[in-house]
Amino acid sequence: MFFWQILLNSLVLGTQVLLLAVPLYLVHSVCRIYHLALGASGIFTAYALYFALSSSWPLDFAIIFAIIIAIILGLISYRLLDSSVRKKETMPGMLISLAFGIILESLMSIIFGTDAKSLVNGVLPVISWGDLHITVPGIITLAAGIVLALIFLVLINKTPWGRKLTSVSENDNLAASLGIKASSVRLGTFIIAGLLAGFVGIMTTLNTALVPTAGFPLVILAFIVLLIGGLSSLKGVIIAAYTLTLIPEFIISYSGNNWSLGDSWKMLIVFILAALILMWRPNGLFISQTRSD
Amino acid sequence: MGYLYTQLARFSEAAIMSMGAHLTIAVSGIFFMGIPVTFSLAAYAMVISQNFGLPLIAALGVALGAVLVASLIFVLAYLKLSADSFTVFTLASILAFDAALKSWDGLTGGVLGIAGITRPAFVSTLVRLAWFQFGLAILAFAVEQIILKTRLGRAMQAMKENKYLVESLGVSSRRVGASAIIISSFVAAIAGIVAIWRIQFLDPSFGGIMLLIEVVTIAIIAAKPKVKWLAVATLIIILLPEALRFLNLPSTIVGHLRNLIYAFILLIMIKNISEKLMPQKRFI
Repeated sequence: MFFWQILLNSLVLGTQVLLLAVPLYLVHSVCRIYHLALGASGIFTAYALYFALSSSWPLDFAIIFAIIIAIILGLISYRLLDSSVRKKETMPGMLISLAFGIILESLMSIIFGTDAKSLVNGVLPVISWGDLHITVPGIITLAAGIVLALIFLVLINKTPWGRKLTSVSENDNLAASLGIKASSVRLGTFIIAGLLAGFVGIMTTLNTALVPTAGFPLVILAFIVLLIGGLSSLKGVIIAAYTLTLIPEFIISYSGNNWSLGDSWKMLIVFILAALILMWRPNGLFISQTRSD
Repeated sequence: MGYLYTQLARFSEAAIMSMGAHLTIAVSGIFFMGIPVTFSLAAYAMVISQNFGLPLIAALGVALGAVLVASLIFVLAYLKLSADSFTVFTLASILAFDAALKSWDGLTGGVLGIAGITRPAFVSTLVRLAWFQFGLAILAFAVEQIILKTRLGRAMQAMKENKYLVESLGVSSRRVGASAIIISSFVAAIAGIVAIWRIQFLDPSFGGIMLLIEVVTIAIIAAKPKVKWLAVATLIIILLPEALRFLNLPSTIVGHLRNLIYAFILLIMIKNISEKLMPQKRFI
């Protein structure tokens, strides 16, 4: 039963990472930019919800407020990064995104302080099957993650919208000549990414605590998942998200009494695993061939 | 007077450390973000070695040996990964190293860190230490000036323009990039060692993302491959947040405000000078 509980916990964690990896994948697919601020953007949205709830706003207003903040953050990201995207300056774009993330983190620290906060007062509702336990936000995360991953898998690979995204990322001038407005596609992508990041931010902080610095480790973990899964394979990203959370979770849970490892070792184990895999397959596990620029 | 000497020491530490970032980011166009790792690793390796009873010279040897291993891992990643994946990998190394420091508390003191670090006899006072660090900073500037004038330095500058053209001229861009990363790692390590002699306390927050932002901001402001630009950029970044001291702000927000200022400067600078960071576009 211990095994199944670890598996369940790992699936929730893996889904959180996957939910952030999907918007990162979207932005990278369309703009060829690593959007490092997405983690901080998600946590900022969670703080917006916290602010609304702690100000005694009704729940529906609080959720609408959080959605508006997520859309605004998506718009700001678009305004900041679009010129880098158009000039195909990926590295400055990544630094702009990193700086924007630090600005959001600093603002959260100044406004709300660095102490851990909770979105829900009291104990989270838990559902049990025999000896297996899972929180309600955990179940929502799992369900939403699986549904959203499948939706995006189909949307990107099987629909005209997905082909539009791919055409804009390959050659936006050519896409424009076919009547596709590249800037609108990019704007839409940033807004969807902001909304998804906000959802992840809220779900993650429901399961743990709300701290301003929570976004950066999450976004780096999601990036590692992207690199391992392969930057152009959403299927690979999904497999990598679960594999990279399951392995450290099992290593830590089954480390013996004399050699017991704490939760803080997780990031180190993930990094070592990622380093070994990337040295072996630099383009990711699920990419067979890449075309260089 | 103590305040002025502290600022002189902080300027010198930032100048030494930023020389590495300048060489990789502004000169070679390699976005190497692992500088906080080597900065912190050298300090931890030296302090832990001394706690095990090693004399200063041997402890310094252990620290530089540890940094050599870390820099070779970064070089391996640089040779294997694409440019943007390498940047993400080095960013992840900061978090992984932080996790290792917090987890291996028997050796590193965990989140509580290591207190009571003594300075060597030759820099026993803050005044001596500040002048020693300033001397090292001048030496670092001189070394960078010399590197920029050598074949290696010219190859670094050319690599930022067009690495395929560099290859066609018979220069190994892999070797040039690896050299830039190793030099950068070692100067960051030296900065870490002298910084810990000033602070005399070591915990996982010693090297982190905020340190990276400071260093990268300096390197970006000094976008041109010129040492005087690096000196001016370091001076601006070190002195600018000092104005916050006179605003009577609560101590809990001063640090975050400083990070906010650095991040804003970084954002504005990149938005305005991004073409200097990227290879020049020529239209024929």
